[in-house]
Amino acid sequence: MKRNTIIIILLILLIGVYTIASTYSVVIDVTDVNGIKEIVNEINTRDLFTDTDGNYNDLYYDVKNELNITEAEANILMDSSYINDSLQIVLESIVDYKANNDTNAKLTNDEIHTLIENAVNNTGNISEETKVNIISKSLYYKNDISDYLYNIDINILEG
Amino acid sequence: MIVFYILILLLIAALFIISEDKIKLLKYLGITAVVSGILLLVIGFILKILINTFLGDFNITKISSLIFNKFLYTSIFSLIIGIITTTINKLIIYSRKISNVN
Repeated sequence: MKRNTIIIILLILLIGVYTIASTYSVVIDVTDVNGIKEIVNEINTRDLFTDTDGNYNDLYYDVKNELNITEAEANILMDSSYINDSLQIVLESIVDYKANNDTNAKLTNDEIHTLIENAVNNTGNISEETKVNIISKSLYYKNDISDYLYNIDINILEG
Repeated sequence: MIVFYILILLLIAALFIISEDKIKLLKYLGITAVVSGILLLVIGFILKILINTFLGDFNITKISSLIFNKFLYTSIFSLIIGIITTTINKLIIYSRKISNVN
């Protein structure tokens, strides 16, 4: 085999290994606990109720119908800083519970309900009737919410 | 990860042994870094499209952009390394030519 052919084969191998190593390091960085936290920090309530094109998704219509609220009220709730702050607490808890195996990080059903209750009560520009309705729905579904949240799959790659 | 580092070092060592002109090793490393940088950009872009396609029910454009940016930074780093090593190779060849003329 000619020297140049061997060099070309080695170069192709080097490019392959270098690319795979770089890709793997990015994947590890993203799936690392701090990487997941970085991703979680990007998520807000509106993101969960809209699709990639920014249109309302099925979850939005399900929740809107269940809570029996108007689009204006739904927008107020989605943009509420109190609700977004509570969402961050819940998401952080899921990451710590699932990725860090921190059992103390798991929020109880009552704690999740209290978070929702406080966030809704502090949110302005929505009627008292709507607030009461949301809080009563939260109370009704709180066991399902907790089970659903803490059964979300999170996989961590080992470097 | 260590396996990849060892493989990279072994391949560089093999290239160093095989190439007659040792200065050419810089050229090979430059080509490797530039091609890998471009490939990383392509992989990051494909991954961004895949994430948006499969998780399109939720608005995860910020997340897919965050992941793409990580590929972008790695790619830029690789491209800079490639450009530097290629430039050094060209400079050495140029300085050799000048010294031969003199």
